[in-house]
Amino acid sequence: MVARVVGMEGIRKTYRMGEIDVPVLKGVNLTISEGEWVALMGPSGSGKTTLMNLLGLLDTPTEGEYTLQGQEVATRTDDELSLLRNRHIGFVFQTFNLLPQLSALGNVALPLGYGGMSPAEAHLKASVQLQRVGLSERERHRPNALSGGEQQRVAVARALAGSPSLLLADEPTGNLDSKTGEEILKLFDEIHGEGTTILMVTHDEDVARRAERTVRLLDGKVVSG
Amino acid sequence: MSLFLQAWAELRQQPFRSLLTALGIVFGVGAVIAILAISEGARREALSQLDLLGAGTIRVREAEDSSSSPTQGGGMATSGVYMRFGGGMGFSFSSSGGSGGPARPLDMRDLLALEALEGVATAASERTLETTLPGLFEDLSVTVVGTTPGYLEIQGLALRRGRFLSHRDIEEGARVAVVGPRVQGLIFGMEEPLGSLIRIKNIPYEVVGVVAPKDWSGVTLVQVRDTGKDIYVPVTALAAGTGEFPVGLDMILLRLEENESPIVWSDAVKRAVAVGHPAGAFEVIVPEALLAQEQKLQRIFSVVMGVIAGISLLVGGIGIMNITLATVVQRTREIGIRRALGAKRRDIQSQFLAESVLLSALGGLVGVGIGAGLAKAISAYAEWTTVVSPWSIGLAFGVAAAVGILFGWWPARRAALLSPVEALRHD
Ligand SMILES: Nc1ncnc2c1ncn2[C@@H]1O[C@H](COP(=O)(O)OP(=O)(O)OP(=O)(O)O)[C@@H](O)[C@H]1O
Ligand SMILES: [Mg+2]
Repeated sequence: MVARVVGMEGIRKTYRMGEIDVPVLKGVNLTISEGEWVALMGPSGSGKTTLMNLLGLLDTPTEGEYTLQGQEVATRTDDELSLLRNRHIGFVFQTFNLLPQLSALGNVALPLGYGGMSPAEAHLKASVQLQRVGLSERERHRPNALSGGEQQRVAVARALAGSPSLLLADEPTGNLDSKTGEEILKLFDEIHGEGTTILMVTHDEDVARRAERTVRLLDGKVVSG
Repeated sequence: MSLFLQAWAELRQQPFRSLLTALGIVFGVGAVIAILAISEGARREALSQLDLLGAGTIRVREAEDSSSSPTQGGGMATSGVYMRFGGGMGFSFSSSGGSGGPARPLDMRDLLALEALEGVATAASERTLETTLPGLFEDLSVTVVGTTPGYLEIQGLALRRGRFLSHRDIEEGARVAVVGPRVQGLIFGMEEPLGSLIRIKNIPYEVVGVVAPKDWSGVTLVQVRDTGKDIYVPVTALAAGTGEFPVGLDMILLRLEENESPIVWSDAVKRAVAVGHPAGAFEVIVPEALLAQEQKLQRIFSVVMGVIAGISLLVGGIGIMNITLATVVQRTREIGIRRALGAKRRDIQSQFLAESVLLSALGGLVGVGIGAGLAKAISAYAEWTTVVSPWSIGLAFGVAAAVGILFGWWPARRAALLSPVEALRHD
């Protein structure tokens, strides 16, 4: 049996807006196995980003159980959650979210530094990651000197630098034209081929078809997958 | 270390803003450095003056302007004035001396009375006579000092050759002289001075000793004379021709027993001299008391400057807090990204704290430079001695860093406590 990376059961997330409770996730059950590429779809406002934040340990559910790599995460301290994020999660955002003051290399080395790696070692490893996404020539460039596609490649390299158990990508091609988007998706094909577990939010059925499985969120619940 | 390198990279992004932010620290630290340099300079100057004048010494002399004192008898008014008799002999002597005139304010009886005081270790007289002697190249104006054996030690003078005046010399009114270094050089040249004769008021004195030079230029508290052109003779010998009794004096110098406070003893000295003398005819000079006076002014100045420095540092600190808060808001999204990548709260906190500390430390560094420059300018224009000591630099630097920590802590803490999702959603 393939190892389970994510196990969610009865996950609820309710935002409080002043006096009223706004339930966004109303009991989500989700399992993702090692090496899977799962597409997450659903109408705008259905709670996809909310779910990603919970999966990425950036936020805590109002209710429900979440195990990441077999570890229950509900009772973790902030420091422990930071460590789990650093070890197990890689984020790729729609808006790239690179730090503008750091070079491509500096951005990729960032999570390695937080993981306790020495700067020299981190830069060496970051360099290897940039080579993997085909940006060896751009190591010293700042993000604003890179195209959107290149920026997203740097972001992917950064997400993969720490060899995470789960790569979370929230509409990674949403800000790119179709040609550049295609290049990024090819990169995802590659890293999936190398065995990385991927959960990707998308609005595009064509993109979703590249994944092995599609999970649909509707009205705060998973309706298929 | 990499924390500060990273902070440096951040600060360099906005050099002008960083500079403006650090300005309060710059001026605050500059003021601290200048104050410390001034007070350290004053302290050293005071110490060296005290060293030159002799710690634990007291001088009693004719009042410089006794006419202003509320004494009766017009005669007193002229007693302090030097009367000069020019002419062929080329000498003058101080005070009215001789017969008929009003009494000197000080005489040998006062010396004995003061010497008898419990706290007084040594007393010496000074009765001066300005005259000229034929030198090797030209006439040399010298100061003949009628004195007693204790003079050498109280004045902190050293012998270069021979001996100083002895008690027997005083008792016998011996015609012996000890000359200053310039007198030796300009009158005897390469000749052997010891055993030679010099004529003062046409009376020959045998030279028995030569005094070593002493640099009095650091003394500003009291009027002092360059002792290089002094000639010391027994006070009894100098007054011998005048028929004066008791022998009048211009000044009495005292050295107290060790550990006795001159400020405490100055009252007893005043009382002892006041017997038989009108008040205001003499003055008692205590270098320690004069220094204390001067230091009091110094201290007021330091307090004022210190308050300015404190306000400047406070304003600087608030500036740093303000800018760090603004930075945290501006970089909220960055904080979210860093947290997503695994930064712990303390990583975020130390990042922002490093920036505020580095900013204020750099401000402190510039401030040290400005303060040192200020101290130099004060030295040049106000002619105060200033000393920028290493410990004052350390202190000012420490204060700057402390301001950075103190005022950077709260904004950095706020940054650390931001929730990662909220921070990421920020734009
Ligand atoms: N912090 C919050 N406070 C209150 N409501 C929130 C908060 N975050 C999200 N919501 C609400 O939760 C719902 C789901 O938001 P979410 O961002 O997860 O949707 P999404 O599926 O990612 O949408 P999109 O496809 O547009 O990105 C929305 O109605 C949103 O307004
Ligand atoms: Mg979304």
